[in-house]
Amino acid sequence: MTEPIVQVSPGWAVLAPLGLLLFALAGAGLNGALVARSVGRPLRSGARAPIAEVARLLRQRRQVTIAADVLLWRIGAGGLVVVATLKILVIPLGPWTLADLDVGVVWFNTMDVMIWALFWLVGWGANSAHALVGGYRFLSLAVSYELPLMFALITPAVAARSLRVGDVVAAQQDLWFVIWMPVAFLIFCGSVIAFSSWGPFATAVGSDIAGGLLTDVSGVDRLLILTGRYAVLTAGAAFAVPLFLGGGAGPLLPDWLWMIVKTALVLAAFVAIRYRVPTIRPDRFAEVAWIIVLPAALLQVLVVAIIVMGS
Amino acid sequence: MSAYVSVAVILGVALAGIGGLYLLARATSVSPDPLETTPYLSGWAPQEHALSRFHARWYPLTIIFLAFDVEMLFMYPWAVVVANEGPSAVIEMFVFLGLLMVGVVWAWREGSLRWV
Amino acid sequence: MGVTSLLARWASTCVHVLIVEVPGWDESRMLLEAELDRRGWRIALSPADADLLAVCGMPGVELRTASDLLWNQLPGPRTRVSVTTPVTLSALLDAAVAHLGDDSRQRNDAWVRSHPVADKDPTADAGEHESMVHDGMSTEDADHGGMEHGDMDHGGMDMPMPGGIPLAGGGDDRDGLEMDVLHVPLGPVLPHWPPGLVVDCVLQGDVIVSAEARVLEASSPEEVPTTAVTDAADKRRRIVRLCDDAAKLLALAGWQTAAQTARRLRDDELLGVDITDHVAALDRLRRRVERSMLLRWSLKGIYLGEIGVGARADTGTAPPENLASVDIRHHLIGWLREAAFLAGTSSGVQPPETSGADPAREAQDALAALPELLRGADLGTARLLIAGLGLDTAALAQTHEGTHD
Repeated sequence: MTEPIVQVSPGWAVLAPLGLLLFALAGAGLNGALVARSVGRPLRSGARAPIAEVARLLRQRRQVTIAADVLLWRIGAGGLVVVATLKILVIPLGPWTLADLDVGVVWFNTMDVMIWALFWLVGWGANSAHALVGGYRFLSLAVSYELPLMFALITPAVAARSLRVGDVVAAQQDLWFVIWMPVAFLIFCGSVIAFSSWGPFATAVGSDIAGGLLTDVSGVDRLLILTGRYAVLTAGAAFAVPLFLGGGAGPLLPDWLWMIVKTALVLAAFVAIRYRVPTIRPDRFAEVAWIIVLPAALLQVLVVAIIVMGS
Repeated sequence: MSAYVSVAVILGVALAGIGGLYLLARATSVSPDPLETTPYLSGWAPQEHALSRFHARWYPLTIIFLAFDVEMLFMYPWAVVVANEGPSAVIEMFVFLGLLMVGVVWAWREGSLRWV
Repeated sequence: MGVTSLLARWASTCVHVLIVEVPGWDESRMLLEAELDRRGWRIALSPADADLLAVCGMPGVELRTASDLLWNQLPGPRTRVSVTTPVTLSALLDAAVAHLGDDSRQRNDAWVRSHPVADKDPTADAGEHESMVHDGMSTEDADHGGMEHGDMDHGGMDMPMPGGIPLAGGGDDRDGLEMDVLHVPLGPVLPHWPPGLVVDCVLQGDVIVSAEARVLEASSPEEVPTTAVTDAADKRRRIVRLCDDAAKLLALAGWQTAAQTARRLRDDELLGVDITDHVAALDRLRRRVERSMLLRWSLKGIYLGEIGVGARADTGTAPPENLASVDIRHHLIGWLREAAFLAGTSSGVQPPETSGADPAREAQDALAALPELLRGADLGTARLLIAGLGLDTAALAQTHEGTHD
């Protein structure tokens, strides 16, 4: 059973970024373990790799390229973590939420659009050909994934008759939304992977352009971007839970723990898929996104709207 | 109101955390001042600045995107009221969306979604 | 100091390595890569990502200049090694770790770099950069044929030059819009790149307007190591090469797990692990590649035309009916099929098609065809096309000066 969601005192907001970072670290640890397995090394050494990586980047000197747009570059690098933390603000942890906004779904959407600017700024600021290509690659991908994502976000809101995340969770008392809006769920997951420049959608940081956005970034700047990518991926995974997976609903465990377990599972799935599929090139994806995925998302909204009216 | 206090708190914490990280890195990295270097170009020096008028070949797509994106403005309030408004709201919205989709399909036929 | 030494110790478990490969020294590079995997180190995609610069082989003048410039781009802590013989590899890397972990030394290095009076490098850099601009411009004008374009660059005296580098000049794009053009050299040091190859590209956005290709040499061709020319060694080298080419192409296609499998098969072959398992493993990988719909879709329509098709794609299969339908995915499958076929034959059997073809001739043709092949391609496609050629730059570097335009 789900209790009504209460908004807790702003003081607790201090803990939210910490929790997000722990999740991001766990995600990176899993990633490291998977990499270690693929080269035949012990899993444990791989799981420790993120710590080594953090130490390495803290020790590494920062660098600027000649005539770089340093301010914009750093805003892009630091902004990812900030946006990710702002995203998780509206996600209820069991019965508690930090911001019970009546437009919580729109809030999430606003934050993910900010990522467009941030990734592009990282690409632009470096004054480097590879990074610039990476930045524009991300934008070309973004114009394809963003609309399906918006419709995927709106689908649970239509069913819940509200844009408040708490209401969306409450509306799933009887049946999780993932069961009767699977298309929206899949589109949402794909878009999270895309806006994190992750896995098959990681063309903006691809090895074919020498790391793209990351080409000329070192030291703590690089650490922030890499953390930021894990953080937005985690925020996306966490938002899938109240939106489609019944929030904190589940047997035995308390609501807040179910939230954490489900988020961890979704995040693990995102991390696991990272290296397993070939790149989806933005120029090829555009056609598919607009001619197949977008109409599918629209149909999903239509079906849900009709069902909701009937009930 | 306290929701937006939380926003301010979390924003403050995130920014302070980033600031703290930079301070930490000043102490732990081998040099506090950044290295100035040329961008990586496979081992060559750049012939010109990379910041330039970039040929975004997918510019027709951005126009279509804009048209559809503005539509989202109506979609959010619509999502809240559609269940109460009944079939007319659904029909109106999907006729509108259908028209936009016709535009997309037309643009597709014109080749705007391909840019290789 | 306690914290910094602790960080240094942790960091030493995942050193990132930027590899510079000299044509003809591919085995050194592969052995290094295998050793990096064993240690859990990473291959860096760019100097900003690297702690260690590893030069595999004896570079010629130009390649040495390039690697010196890259060395200046490593942010630090940094160290460099020269890998020529596999015997000392492990000790070499251990020494590199010690060097990276030496905090006072690294801090001193960083200090010297930010105080140019005590440092000779920046002046050397500037001179080198000057001549590079000149070279680039003259060849570019000859090829591009754009009068206005040339004028604009030479009239660059009055233009603002922040940081001593001119701003990008304009040029008409294929839609008739005036867009800036950038001169971006690809190679000699790029991830998953044929060693020594340099493709000087003129880019608009990420589209290649024109390109010129050449190969940088090793220090002197005689020094390139040649393994014993027995059939068995020949066959083994061929399998290793095919797996390596496949791994590069798969990595560029973004399919890391498949690329890693290809690399492990390559390393097993290189280090002489039991050969019978290999046929099955290679076949499994091939079938996995064949089955992937996503790979098929993302490589669809990336054709090499006639280059390399005749000699490679048809080992143990019917010849391709239609050249235009053979995209680089078919090349990839062909390589894996050939590797499995070779691994399955006993050592006396001649490799099916290396017997007739002259690798140097083949590579020469491929290099000559590159500019035309790359014109109008975007960077991602261009990288896939070049990987799909499986260019044997060592064969080129051995025969002659290796320049082509």
